[in-house]
Amino acid sequence: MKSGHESLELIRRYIDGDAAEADREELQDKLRCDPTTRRLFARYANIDATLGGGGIALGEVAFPARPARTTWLSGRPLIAAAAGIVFGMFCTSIVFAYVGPSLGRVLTLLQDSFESGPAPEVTGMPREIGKWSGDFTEIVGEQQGVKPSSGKQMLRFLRADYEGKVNPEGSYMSDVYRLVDVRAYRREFGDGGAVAQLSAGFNAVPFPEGAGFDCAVFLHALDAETALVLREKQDANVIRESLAMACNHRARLDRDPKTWQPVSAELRLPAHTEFLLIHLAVQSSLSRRPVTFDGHYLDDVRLTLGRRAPLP
Amino acid sequence: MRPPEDIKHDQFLRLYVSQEEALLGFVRTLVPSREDAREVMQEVAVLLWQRLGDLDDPSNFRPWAFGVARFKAMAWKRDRTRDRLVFDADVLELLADEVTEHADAYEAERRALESCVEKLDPAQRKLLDAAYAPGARVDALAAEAGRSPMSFYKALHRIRLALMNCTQRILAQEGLT
Repeated sequence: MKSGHESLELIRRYIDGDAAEADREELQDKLRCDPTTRRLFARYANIDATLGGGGIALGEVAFPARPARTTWLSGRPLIAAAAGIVFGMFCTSIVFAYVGPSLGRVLTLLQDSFESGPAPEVTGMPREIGKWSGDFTEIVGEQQGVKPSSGKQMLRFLRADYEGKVNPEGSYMSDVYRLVDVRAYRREFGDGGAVAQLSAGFNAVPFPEGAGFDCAVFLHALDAETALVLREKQDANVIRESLAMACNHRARLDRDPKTWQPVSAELRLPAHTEFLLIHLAVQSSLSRRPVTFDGHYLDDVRLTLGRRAPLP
Repeated sequence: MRPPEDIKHDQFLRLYVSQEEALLGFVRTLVPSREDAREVMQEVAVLLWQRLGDLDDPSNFRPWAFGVARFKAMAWKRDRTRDRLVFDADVLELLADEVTEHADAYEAERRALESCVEKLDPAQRKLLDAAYAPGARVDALAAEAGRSPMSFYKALHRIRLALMNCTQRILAQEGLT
């Protein structure tokens, strides 16, 4: 009979992908016969999933202003020009980087800290490719003790509705969206081996005890037809036709305006992906009633495309 | 004039967001790696979205979503019959039953985890942060830290066990165990 310690080591090996076939067999036998081992395994997996889910700040809480390698690479506009696609004059650039063996070459599709360009259109879903839209927001400089994560400006969430929204009184989530055309990169992900990573920084002024706010990032992979319907009909329900979706919503905003909280999500792109829909939001985590946003901010949005080995 | 589809969209997001963490824990129990779990979760999210109309009562979203996730995880397993690390179907069913039946306990443990992480010392948090960064590889992290992969795994294991003990203590104090 294996001790609890040895069972935990077997579970550890399995969860870490470090188990030999014999380990897997031994663990499976125990799981089949022993409810206690099943409970232990499920708890261990639950802890692992939660730690890996991005909802808990594990290391430094402060949001890094900007990775050094990005600064270096942003000064390579010729690469963007060669790619033939420029999403914005200042806020966006196409850059390549090597960030590690797991992702290999990484393409930065969007990097925006709201230093230029108009405020998001107040239309809910985007009507145009490459432009921000969403609920009522504004572009602001430092205010209420909150400094932009980088640059001199940031986006402020104002309300949970947009012009003409049906039933605005039921809204509790303030959203911004952006549609990104990735058709030029089909070679990068046409074999199902590419992943898109979306990250953004969120911040808030101190809010009262009894209130709570979560920040969320969503990333949808769309085909061209779905993206077209989305733009023309402004129909949020169209997103149900997404080829795939990833989200990360569990970052609870703290009450410290000095810290920017990073939230990210990763999506493996289906082979037929032609557009990505970015969706960033702040929502009340405690109340399902309509809320006001007295000082909730977004900055440093980054969308990258990299490669991982295709699934078997 | 936009139809009530916006409301459905909001409703889905609200429901999904409220249970996504639970779903991720559920799926993670049934597949060998975090990467696998993310893959299955993508498919689960899309299917939930498409089938939202089948949900009669929003208060039943979690059990309904667990059912969808179980279906997707089993389909994922069937596609990987040669993967030596995937458990047999009967064991996956037992694990799925375990998480479904005790979903509230696992949710409570997730809630307690945040304060337990805050109690770790900076070195432990740094190690966790590195190990759970997207795309992190233990062999590379270990080499960077000048230690063996096994030593890195062991350190990570000790931290996880400390966190499990901590969450149990918190739940016991709250009378939840």
